[in-house]
Amino acid sequence: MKSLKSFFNVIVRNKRACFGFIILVIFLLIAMIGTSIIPLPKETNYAERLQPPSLSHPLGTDYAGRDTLAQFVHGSKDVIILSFLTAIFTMVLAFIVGGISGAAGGKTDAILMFITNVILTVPSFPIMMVLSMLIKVTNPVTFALILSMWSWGGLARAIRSQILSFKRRDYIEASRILGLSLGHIVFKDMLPNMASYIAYHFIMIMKSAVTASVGLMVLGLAPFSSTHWGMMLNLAMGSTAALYGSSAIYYFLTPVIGIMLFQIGCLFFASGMDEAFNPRLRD
Amino acid sequence: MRWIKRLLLVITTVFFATTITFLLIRMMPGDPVENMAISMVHDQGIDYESAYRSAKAMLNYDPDVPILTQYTKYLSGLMKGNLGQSLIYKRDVKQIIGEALPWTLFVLSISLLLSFFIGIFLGMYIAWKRTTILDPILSAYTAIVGSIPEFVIAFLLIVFFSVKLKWFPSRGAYSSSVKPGFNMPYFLDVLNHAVLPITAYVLGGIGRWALNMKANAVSVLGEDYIVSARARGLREKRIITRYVGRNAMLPLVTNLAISFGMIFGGSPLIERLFVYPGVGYYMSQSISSRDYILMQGIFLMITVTVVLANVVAEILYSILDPRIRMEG
Amino acid sequence: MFRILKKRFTVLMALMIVISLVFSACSESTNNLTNTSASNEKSANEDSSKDTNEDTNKDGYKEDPEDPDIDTFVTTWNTGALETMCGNPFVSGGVPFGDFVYDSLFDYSPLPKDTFLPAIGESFEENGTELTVKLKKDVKWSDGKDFTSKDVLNTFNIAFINNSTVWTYLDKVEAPDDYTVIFRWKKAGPILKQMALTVKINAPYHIYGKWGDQAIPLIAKRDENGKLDKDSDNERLKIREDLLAFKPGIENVVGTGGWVYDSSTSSEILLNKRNDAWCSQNINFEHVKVVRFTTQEASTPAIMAGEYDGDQIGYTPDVFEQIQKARPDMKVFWVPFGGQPTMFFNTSKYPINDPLVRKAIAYVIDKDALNPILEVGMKPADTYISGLVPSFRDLWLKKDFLSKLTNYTYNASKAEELLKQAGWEKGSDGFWRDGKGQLVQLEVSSMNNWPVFFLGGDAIVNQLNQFGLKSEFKPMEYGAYNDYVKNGQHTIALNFIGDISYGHPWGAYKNIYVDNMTKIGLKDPKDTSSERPDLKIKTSSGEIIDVYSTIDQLFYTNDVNEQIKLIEKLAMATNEFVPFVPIAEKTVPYKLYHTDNKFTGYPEDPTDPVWFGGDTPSVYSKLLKYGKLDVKK
Repeated sequence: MKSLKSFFNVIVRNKRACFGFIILVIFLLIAMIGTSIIPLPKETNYAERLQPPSLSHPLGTDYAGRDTLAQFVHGSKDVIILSFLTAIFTMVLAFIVGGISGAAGGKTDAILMFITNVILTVPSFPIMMVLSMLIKVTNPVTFALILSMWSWGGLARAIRSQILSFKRRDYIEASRILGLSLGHIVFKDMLPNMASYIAYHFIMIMKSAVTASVGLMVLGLAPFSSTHWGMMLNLAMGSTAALYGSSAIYYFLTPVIGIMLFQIGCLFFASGMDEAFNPRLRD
Repeated sequence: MRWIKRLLLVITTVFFATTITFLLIRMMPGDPVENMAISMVHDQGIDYESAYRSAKAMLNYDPDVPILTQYTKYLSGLMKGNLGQSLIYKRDVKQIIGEALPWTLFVLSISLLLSFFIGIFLGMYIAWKRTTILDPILSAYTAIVGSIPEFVIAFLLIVFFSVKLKWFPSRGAYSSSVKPGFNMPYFLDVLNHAVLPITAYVLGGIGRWALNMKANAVSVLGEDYIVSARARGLREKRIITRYVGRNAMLPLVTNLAISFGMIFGGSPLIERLFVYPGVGYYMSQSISSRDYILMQGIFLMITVTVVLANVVAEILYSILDPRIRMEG
Repeated sequence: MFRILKKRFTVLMALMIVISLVFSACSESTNNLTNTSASNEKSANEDSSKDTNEDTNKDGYKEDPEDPDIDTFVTTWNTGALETMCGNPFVSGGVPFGDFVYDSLFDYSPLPKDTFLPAIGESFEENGTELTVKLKKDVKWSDGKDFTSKDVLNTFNIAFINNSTVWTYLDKVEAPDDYTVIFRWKKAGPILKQMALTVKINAPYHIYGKWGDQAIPLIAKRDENGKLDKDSDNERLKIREDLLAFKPGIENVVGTGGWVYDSSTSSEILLNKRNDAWCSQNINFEHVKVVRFTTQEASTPAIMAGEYDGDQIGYTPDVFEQIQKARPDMKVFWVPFGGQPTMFFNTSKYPINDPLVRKAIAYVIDKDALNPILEVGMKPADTYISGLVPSFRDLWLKKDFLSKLTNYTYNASKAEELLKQAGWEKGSDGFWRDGKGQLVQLEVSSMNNWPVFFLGGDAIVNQLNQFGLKSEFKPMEYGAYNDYVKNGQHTIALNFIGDISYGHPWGAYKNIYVDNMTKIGLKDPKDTSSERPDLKIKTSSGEIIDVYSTIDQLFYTNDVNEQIKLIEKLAMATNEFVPFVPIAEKTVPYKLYHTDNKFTGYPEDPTDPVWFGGDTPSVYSKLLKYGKLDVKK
């Protein structure tokens, strides 16, 4: 509880983190509450296709006459769930590999780091293109799996070296001398010390998950939800002439701005937090 | 001894990466014979069965051969330095990569260096002038541009500079009317075609470098020796260039080397949009047509360059950072 | 230190740029070495056309809508990868611009009624199982050799090596003299002449004779079913392999058409006009430029910028509207070609194995509501589910016959009635339950790279859900979709079914019941035998129709009235069986741009025979070679 309070204190004091935090909270609210207030329109109305913003449609309509705002709202849920799941999967994978590798050392370390190296040498985006066909994307979980399967390498490595440096610190040595278990050392001693580090990377993975998922969707490789911003972008770019002067521009700009704001939110929150928790920078 | 060990590690890494990609690629649904047969039925009006037989003969690829046999065949080919023949392009994979790579390297090395230098300059400036109005403006700029996916930027560039203003061409690497070779019209044409892709990469890339640089510079600024340098009354400019700049840039130079390894893969999204005949373009083409051999060849090429780039980065780092040099 | 570093980087960067430029120059110059030596073997008059080409090069070759390059006709289509090009048209991807360098004997159009435009054939005469063709005498191959009946024979011999369908029906081809060819069929049939006369003559004897000649003994060895025994078939495959290994440079492509290859990059091909071709005096342009179509995102900017003179790309209404605004000089010719976008049923899968359910779904789909989103120029769907698209249906089936068929226009209450008849019930949540009280869940899959099927599928799923049939939309990447459908994993899917070929309903029914038999669930995907399933359909009047034998019978029925009777039978059977629901009829939007200041002389009527191209870019080559396109002076 106390740590939560100090966390908010830091957030409030650091303008950047605060700004990012507010953006993310707004997105979270949109995704959680907005989706129940604004229902996803199923009915198509081709007569009102690609309308500019109006009172009844604040962000205009899509290619089938459905409200863009409603799709944006439901899309934000898709995006948040997807990026959140991706971050969790990536984190878990990275922690398992990096953690075991760093803590165990020796042969296990060598083997796990070798696997990590192999993963890191194969380019991730083309592999995601291949994976997205291999594992049929039908829901956020499979999609998140594809996005995280090849992106944990760097983080695993970083976690390993963090753990190695922790290992050398005095209080860890002390715990070890006291005969505490590995689990105790990891969960009681190391994790709390790495909290800000984890949070920072968690947010940054969420950010890059958005870019990667949108990229796959624009290539048409992961067409699982028509409200995901990437799919909206794909449709707007491919079938609506958004940028050639039609009012489809609103349909195009909505996901672009969504992607942008979400990423800025992640970035500001993460980097602000990093700044805030890096004690040397706090005056 | 250390270098031999290193080399062995490099070779095994490449071997395992190749094996994994080989398996993943063959597990993809759909096969090139099927895709080709379907297009033959449509284009030539022949029935499906004979189209399938023809496609099998044309591609010289039989999907029913067990995967292990295919794998050993592929490996024995690799041993002889043979990457195989592309199923769709009917040409040596080495040759295709050899022709695609220069285009990718040309556009991406220029973009990378431009965005690197602009990025570190911006990043350092922001870190330095953290209290002025410039910081939020530049931060916001880099944050906004860096947050829009590169292909959206590319798409916008095409619409404005190619469709609306008609300043630059939107596709290809050069026009068929110029004769390729060492002549001025060709070079100018190539540059003209490269302007939009390069701009798209640079606009998208600056943000990343700037933010990295800023983060590093900020953390360097907090180091004790900077504080003591300030206390010693050294001029701000000197501190920035001499101490902060150099130390903050160090990790980025390694990053740059690794990024150089990464650019060999090109960008499937952007090259596809500009129909730019680079590696990324062939990558996305080979994936959609299930050209296993070409896909495999490109993956191998990228893997090797990434591994080499990592080695180079390590060497660079040990040269630039005296601490490591002393240790090693 | 920092300054030194900076300096080093600057040098490095400069070096990289120079090296990259040199690289690209090297690779391209080796790549195109063949181009520069291309004209060596060609005749003198071509060299002169080459010179004029060089002139346009100096102009910078910029397509500007205000000042269009009046010498060149620029078009785009999906040529496939241009790196595969070689002078052998039998290699896949070898000559992607074949329409411009090769001719068939006649150019065929089923609209407004069967028309054969004489290309390199002069006239033909049909007499039972005999088709006699007289060839034009002034035709020359682009390497200067005369075109004779030997070349036609050789083309058909090579077609045998390549296992072409035409040999299923051909007994033999003969050449009594240099300018006469006689096709002898095993059995007379109404569409055989379309098959023979529209084959592209692309195997000049003086180049491909050595492979074609090897086919002659094999043709004689066929048994009464037209099949070769195992050894002979292996021999055929060996000859074929040898033929495919022949890969002269693309600059050596030899055809009878009005154009010769000049040069190419990975995204475009430049062709030059021939001066000694049979159609040279008709052609009013010096060059043709073919730009490779890759994606719509990449080609739309080029169209907006006025870079093309003609294309056949289909557009969604919104993109089309913007193009129309940007290019008021565009004229579109919507040409029916018999393409039928449908949602089709895997009739072996529950719950759509029940014809009542399929019929109900046919009533649920509001085809008129789909039309506006699909693609501009789509015509209303065939609501009779006769198997034929309306443009061709109305040529063969009379109104009073159609009135006897069930008309599946949107009708929700009819659909409910049918489902209740099948024992289904609507639950309190508004969704239908089957006879066992289970919630019915349908799945609609489609490819995602074509707006017609992607947007159409999305809308269809919405309609089904609104009606109370719980449905899920599964768009897939093209290759994955093909795999999915091929393995029979689909329940409902979207694609073309029942496309007309050879301009005759037989082609449509063969496409539905033979080519797509696994996709509509008539045959187990694991069954690789060529055996046809047994399909007998009882119509509402109690008549039992054997679909496959009727299709075969239609092929060999020469009397038009007899043909109509058989077509009516097949229409009734399809109407009852409902293997698919047509969602529209596709027309090809052949377009011409710059019609304000560049082009004149083209036929305004889209049913003019030159506008028929069966969804291929051959239309533009026809416009040019028949002199139907002129430059405004």
